Amino acid sequence: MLQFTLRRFLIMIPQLIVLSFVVFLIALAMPGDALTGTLDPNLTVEMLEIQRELLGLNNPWYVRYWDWIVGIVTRFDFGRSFTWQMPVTAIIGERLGNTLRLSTLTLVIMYAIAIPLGIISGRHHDTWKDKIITAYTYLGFGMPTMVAGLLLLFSFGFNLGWFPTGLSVAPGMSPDMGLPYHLSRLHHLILPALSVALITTVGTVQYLRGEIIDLEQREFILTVRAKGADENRVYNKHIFRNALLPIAAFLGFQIAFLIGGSVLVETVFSFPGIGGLFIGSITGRDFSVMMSLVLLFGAATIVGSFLSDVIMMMVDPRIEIE
Amino acid sequence: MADVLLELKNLKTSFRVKDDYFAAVDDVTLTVNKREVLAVVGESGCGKSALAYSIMKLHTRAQVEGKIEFKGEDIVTATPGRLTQLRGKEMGMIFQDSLSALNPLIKIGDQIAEAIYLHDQKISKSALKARVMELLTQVGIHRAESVYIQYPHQLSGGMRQRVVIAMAIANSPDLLIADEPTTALDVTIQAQILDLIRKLRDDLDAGVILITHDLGVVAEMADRVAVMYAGQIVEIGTVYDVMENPRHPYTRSLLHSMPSAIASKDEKLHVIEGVVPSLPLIPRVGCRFKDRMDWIPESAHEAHPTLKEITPGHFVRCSCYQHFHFPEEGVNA
Amino acid sequence: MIEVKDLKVHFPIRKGFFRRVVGHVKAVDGINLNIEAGKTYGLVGESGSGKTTTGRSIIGLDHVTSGEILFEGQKLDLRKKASRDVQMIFQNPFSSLNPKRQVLDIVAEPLRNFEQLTPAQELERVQELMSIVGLSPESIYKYPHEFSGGQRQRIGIARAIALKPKLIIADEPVSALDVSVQAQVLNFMKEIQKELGLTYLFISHDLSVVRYMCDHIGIMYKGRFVESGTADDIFENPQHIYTKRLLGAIPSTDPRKRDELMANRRKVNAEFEALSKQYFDETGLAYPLKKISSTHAVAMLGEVK
Repeated sequence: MLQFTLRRFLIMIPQLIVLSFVVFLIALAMPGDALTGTLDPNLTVEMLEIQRELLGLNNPWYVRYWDWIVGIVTRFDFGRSFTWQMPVTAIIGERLGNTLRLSTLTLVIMYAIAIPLGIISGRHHDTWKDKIITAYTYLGFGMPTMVAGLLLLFSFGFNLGWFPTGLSVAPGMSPDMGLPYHLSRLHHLILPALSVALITTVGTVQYLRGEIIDLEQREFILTVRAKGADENRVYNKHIFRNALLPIAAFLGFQIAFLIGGSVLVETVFSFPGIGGLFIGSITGRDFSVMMSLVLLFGAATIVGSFLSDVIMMMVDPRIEIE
Repeated sequence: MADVLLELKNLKTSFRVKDDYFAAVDDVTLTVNKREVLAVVGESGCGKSALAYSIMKLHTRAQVEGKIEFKGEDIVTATPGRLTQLRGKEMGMIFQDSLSALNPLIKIGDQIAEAIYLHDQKISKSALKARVMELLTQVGIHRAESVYIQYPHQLSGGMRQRVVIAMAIANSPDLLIADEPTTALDVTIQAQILDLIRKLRDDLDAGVILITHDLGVVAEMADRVAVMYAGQIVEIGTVYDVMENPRHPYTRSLLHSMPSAIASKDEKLHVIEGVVPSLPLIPRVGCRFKDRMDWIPESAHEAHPTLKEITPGHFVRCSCYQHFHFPEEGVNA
Repeated sequence: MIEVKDLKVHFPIRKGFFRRVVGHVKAVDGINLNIEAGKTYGLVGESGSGKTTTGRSIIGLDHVTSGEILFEGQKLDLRKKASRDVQMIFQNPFSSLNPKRQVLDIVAEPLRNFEQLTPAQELERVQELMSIVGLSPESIYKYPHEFSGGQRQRIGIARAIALKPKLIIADEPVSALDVSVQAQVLNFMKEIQKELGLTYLFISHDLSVVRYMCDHIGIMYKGRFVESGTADDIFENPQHIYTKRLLGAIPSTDPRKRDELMANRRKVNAEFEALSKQYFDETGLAYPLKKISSTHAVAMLGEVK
């Protein structure tokens, strides 16, 4: 098992190299370079050239690629953002924490909704309970996250005033205030997390429902009944466990999806996460930030699929480890 | 014959297809005695598996009518709670495909242990394990200790089938229902498994219902045989009645179509014309086998065929058996 | 017609971090067979005996490790997939036909691969094939699920004979079918064999079917032959203990032979245990075949009684 994990881990290295290369090529194709943004009208063309030479911007592309990679690997240097005039790592680091907190809460809410609804819907399929749940899932499939976000924001944020309408923590709060600070953070997370969770969970609800209905027809479930198990045991012990398998395996992808998918909801809630930052970097042509974020989203997907494979191997004995 | 274990009377099991219910098992009446092997034989789609499942009421979405009397108790009207007490304890089921009959995510030992635990929740862990080991040995698995912690996919087909049998006999049931227990196995393994079922019948003093399509298995195992076609029993009697003196056209056709029924390689095998009708297409009036022997005149059939006793204990449905001949034989053959 | 010489198909077993090859599964381990034109050769064995791999490697579906396959004296190029002269019928008529394609497309597939026909010619050929296999020409626009098991197997046969092959490899063609349907397919295979002069390699675990169908039989065990000969050699005068065991395991339809069969089985099993050294080497594999008559060969030590 350790061996499998290790081997699977090593596969990520070529994947990451390819990813970095693609990101680098995208950056190459963009007009301008790191200096275009720092344009100071007082600098002469000659001085700019000297700067370029000093920064290595006139080197051939492979030298620059190498320098870039070495910078990332050895100094964790992703460059400087010219809009913020700060190292990229500092800007992303601060916001990544917010986005990760948001994704985690979203994930928790998602499964808290999907598991009970999926089970009820699957176990009692074609009853009124199932029909109501299915109606909800169709609504979810039809509604974009952004619309759901706006609806929640409008009703619970503006009209009822139960939740804040923006930011990640109330102004004036600082970490040394302890519990009230953390509560405020949580309070700010709830609406955006809920709006993503309510919509994205419907896929999982439907999947779980289908999986349960399918498993119910399987012969080993007949075996369990023939052994004398009652329906609760049949569902709770056998069907439920087997139905969760593919969902557990999907967890890794789900995480990657949520990190990458945070863009819209963070914009709607003016939430200071990497999603908002990404939009900002595009509109502001802040290439170093943009590149780093694309790299981050790509890496999240690669790590997510690694996690999925490892989880799959842990929960399904049929996957041979040898 | 005394010691009736199970009695079915006008059993009818229906399934929903689109908006209507269709009977897959239609008007089945039979008895199974203690220590007896009753073989139920027929081709796929004739209702034999549906019959097996009905006895334990395993189909959650089927409609079961008629009478199933097991040791004097009516199963059709039994409460779900009572059914869970009977299943696995008094009646055990052996399934055909051992790979799909076992939960792929649970260790062999735990799956067998569940069968015991469900009927004895106070059993200690060590006693439970000891009993599982004993069962594994009883079904002829020698390396019980290692099989206990293996998963279903890690065993061979023959070994898995033994595990399925171990589960079925965990609580020494009085009735064992085996649904095509050897169909998925190689012949040498089949011989071993049949031997095992015979031995268990003797050890447990149980009645066995053996569902199969293999007439060879029937001849080797059965005391009595019921032949099913399109949801009905068309012929029932002792194994000698049915195998040596088959009367119903379907029974005769089945026996006749086996390669071993042919004396020379140059002869053609007998083919039963047409196909087994699918559930909604089963003819509900008259002789159900009629369409597959169209060279027999209409007048040979009864309008409402019933099982009639032709010699003591040997029943045949529809009078057409008296007029039946194979097309290659003359009318008077 | 077809000659297989010292065929070996080994699959590597990989282990460890670098997936190094640590050994081989010898699925087929040096077999020889000759099939005469127009005859049926039965390859018999239990699961894992290598009979299916043998068939698949002749048609090029499995990679051959070593050995030669001569087809009408010509060496078959084993790297090239499927010659048009060799076709295959598969075991499961429910999974071997693509459910999303019409019968026309299924049957015409080999024609499209090997022959350039106009749509009209193709249609005509497919309809002709359908009538050869006893299905109505109109049914070519139907999908596989609209047919019964036996009919589906006929569609599989129509596809196999579309290119007028000389050799058909039939891998358990009737084991998924009920007896009456089995009879239909077997009769039909015999009929077209005569009509089209086909040669069959008939792979099966069912000895009563093999007895009915085959002229020559090879019994396989763990990748090697334990015995080969004419159908009479094998059924009337079996020599190898494994052959005897296989034959003994076939149930009889005569209920009065029950005890006799069981006693015989016990006897053979005891012999199997007691005399295993005479029949199997120290690794549990069969010895090389030795001829004991012009047609009959058996893999055992010592003299044959």
